[in-house]
Amino acid sequence: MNVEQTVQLLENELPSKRETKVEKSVLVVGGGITGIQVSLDLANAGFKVYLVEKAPSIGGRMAQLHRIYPTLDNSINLLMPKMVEVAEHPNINLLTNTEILEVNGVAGNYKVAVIKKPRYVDENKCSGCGACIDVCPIYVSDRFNEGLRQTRAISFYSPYSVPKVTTINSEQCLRLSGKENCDKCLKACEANAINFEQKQKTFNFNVGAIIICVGADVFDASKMPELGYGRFKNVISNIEFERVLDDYGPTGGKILCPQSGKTPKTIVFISCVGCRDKRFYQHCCNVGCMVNLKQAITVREKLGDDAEIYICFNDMRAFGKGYEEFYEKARSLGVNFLAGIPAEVRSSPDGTLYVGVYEKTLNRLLELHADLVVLTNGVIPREEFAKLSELFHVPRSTDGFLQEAHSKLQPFESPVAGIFLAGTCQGPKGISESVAQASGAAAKAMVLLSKRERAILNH
Amino acid sequence: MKLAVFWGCRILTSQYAYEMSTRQVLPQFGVELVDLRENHCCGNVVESVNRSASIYMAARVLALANETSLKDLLVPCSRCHFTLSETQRLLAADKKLEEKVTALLDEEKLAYSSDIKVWHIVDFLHDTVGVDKIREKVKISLKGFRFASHIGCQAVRPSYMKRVDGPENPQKLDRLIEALGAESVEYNEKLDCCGAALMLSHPEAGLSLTGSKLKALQELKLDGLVDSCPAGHMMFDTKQEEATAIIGSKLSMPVFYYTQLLGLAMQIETKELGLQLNKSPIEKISEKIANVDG
Amino acid sequence: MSLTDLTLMAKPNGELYKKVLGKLAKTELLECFQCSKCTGGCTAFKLLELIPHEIIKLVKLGFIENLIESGIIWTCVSCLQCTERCPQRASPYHVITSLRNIAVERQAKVPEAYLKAVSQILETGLMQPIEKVTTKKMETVDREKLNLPKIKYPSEEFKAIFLKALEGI
Repeated sequence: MNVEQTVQLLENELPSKRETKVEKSVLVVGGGITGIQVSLDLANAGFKVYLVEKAPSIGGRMAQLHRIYPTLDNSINLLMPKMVEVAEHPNINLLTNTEILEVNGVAGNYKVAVIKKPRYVDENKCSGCGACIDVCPIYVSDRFNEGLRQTRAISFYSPYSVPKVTTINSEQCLRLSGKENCDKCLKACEANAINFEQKQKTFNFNVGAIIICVGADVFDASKMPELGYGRFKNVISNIEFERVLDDYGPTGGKILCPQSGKTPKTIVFISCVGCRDKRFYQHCCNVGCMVNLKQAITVREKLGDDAEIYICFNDMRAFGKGYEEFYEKARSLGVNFLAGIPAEVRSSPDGTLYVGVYEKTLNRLLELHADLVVLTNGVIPREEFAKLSELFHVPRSTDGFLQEAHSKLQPFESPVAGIFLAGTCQGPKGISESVAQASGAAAKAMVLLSKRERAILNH
Repeated sequence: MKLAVFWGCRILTSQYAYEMSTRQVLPQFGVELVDLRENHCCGNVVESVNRSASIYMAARVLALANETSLKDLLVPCSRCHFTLSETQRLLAADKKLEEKVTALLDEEKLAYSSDIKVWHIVDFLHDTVGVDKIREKVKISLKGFRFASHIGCQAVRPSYMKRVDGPENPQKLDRLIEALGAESVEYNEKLDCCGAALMLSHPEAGLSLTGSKLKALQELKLDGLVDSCPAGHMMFDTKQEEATAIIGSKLSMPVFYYTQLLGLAMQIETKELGLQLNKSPIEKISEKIANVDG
Repeated sequence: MSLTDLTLMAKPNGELYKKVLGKLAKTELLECFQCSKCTGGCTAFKLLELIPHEIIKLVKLGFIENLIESGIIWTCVSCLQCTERCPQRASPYHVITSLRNIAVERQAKVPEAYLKAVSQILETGLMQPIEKVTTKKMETVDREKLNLPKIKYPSEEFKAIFLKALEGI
């Protein structure tokens, strides 16, 4: 037999196509605005959605924001209706407090195992009254409020929790950590929802496509000691400041100096902390400039004309729709823009901060005496991307974010068939861009899901 | 243990107290100092004239250390420590450069070794000897005394290579001071430069930097400033009077080498520690220490 | 008000720029994005008006002749604060040192003390002569009086090789 005959023989013998039925369901990993948007788009198109969220509540970063740029809409007012829609949607199976355990299979037929961690509170019984919270004797740092406040060992994740069910922190709870046989919450609960015996549960299901929307992290500025974060009380991060500005936040929306409790007169923003910095993360966080503008404008509204507001910037990146106009608005409100990044922050015993910045347009070293310094901590990859990368076989780009198939033409597909990416896990971006990507990823997934079957081996 | 030691230029030609006090205190911790066969400059200042020549000089120091067969080299000067460390890094990263330098050393049958560990007094005492051992040797506790520390810019920067301590919040010298029973205060100007390098081109500006730092320290009601670099000590102690004249403020700050303070706490005679050579007003403090009920 | 004709007066990739590049261990040391953080914390800025980020910009644009002739490059205190804090891992300190080397090569303005240090090394191996040291009681002391070991001056061979190194490795 010659070569051609051999090849023909093999082609006849081997299956030329193997097919799999395409499941009409989707796994969405991450319940922030991106995951919420993806889930709603797909659920409304008739597909079954498993929305898996690690935290006890969906909402993600957007729920932590006071307002969004450039419209200055209240963030929760925009987010909450979508969160409720997700919770009530017949096509969405919402699994909070849940993590991905294992993923096998191929596009069209992924076999997923997830593990739902126990909240020690029955989701079906809890009425969301919060009576258990007040009686709990243990105080823990409030993660949603970035540690600016304390909550109890049993608590809601945030004032905007969906589902509105409390969760017990098993490490801090006296009973669950074996320190004491406390049952105060048990006694206070009229709905009989507390269950210390609750166990973790594994769920297995098959889905046709997976969309990863796990979001990103915020740089920890204590890694940059020259700015005084962690050493000086009056140096805070942008995400902490966002919680301060929120009327339902730890200060009831009042802007106060952490050290003295007084209202600050001079507030200085320092841009590009942790990002555009080869010592930490080289990428630009995309949102820092706009967040500064938004927060500066909010400060002007809350503190009036007396406040002196300075933004120390490297470049002003205001690239989106309405963004340049937003920059102009900040300038018209008397926000001062200093072209230069300070080298360090020093503090006097009473908490006044000294910030020296070489202003490039004036060619002068300006020394600012600030009551409050807000650091524009950048958006950075999550540490768990390594684990997720392994689970889903999705590679990471050199900047540490999850890698898309093609940055221009396939921005919300991963290189793995059937797995899509959306939101900040693919790269830092704002809410408009994340929502656009969410719907894009959902549409791409629908292309796959619209088929009855899918060939998985082709010659 | 045996430690090879490289003193640099300043200690050998003027800052005798640093050598005296170091030679007094280290043997108390079982350290035998082994001098190099020859004394010459590390090349720190030569870097501004010809960087390659300065790398050759630093490499020669390390080759002389290699000759002793000891793997640890003590470098009490912060500037020498920087020059030797940076040279190690540059030679490791650039094979061509290493070849050229090795060729020059070859002419004298000297061999450069990349595995010499370069120590400073501060990290040697803190990391190797340890604050507990130091505490044990203290005969006169300095409890109640307040000092501030100055470790020297070039000892802690740049942090992309291993330095003696962290760049933004160095604490080792403070822990060493505390091991003597004293308090070591934090202050805003802690990382500020002494200005020594400017003595070669702008001496008044250099002394102005020295004076500003001393002036800031005076506000803190201290018993003294403790340093660990001959360049820094030259500015803060030897030239304190000149600095006073430049900034026009009355300056009166006792300045000690850490090894001198350590020696006092171990009840070593003040003369052996070179305290007679300190130009700053240290008598009150050294007398107070000597009179403390041990 | 000054006008600078970039095409006539400065050559961004000129011979001098290449010279500076050649003296740097990494080209990254010049890759400044002008955030001015270095100048904000520069020890030599307040007293001597050294503007590190400006020096790097001038080098990149090719205005190197002026820098070499100017005394400004001799104001750097070598505190290394700029090198430590630069977010682009540029290093005004290393660039300034390279400019100083070129200034020496071209026999431009070099502070005497540096040249004196070099000749001292050629003489005794150390960068300064033995100084007159007095105690507070105005008693003159030297190493012998203080029971310190004699200085072991380096061989003539070292001095010859050092001279060779100065001429170019």
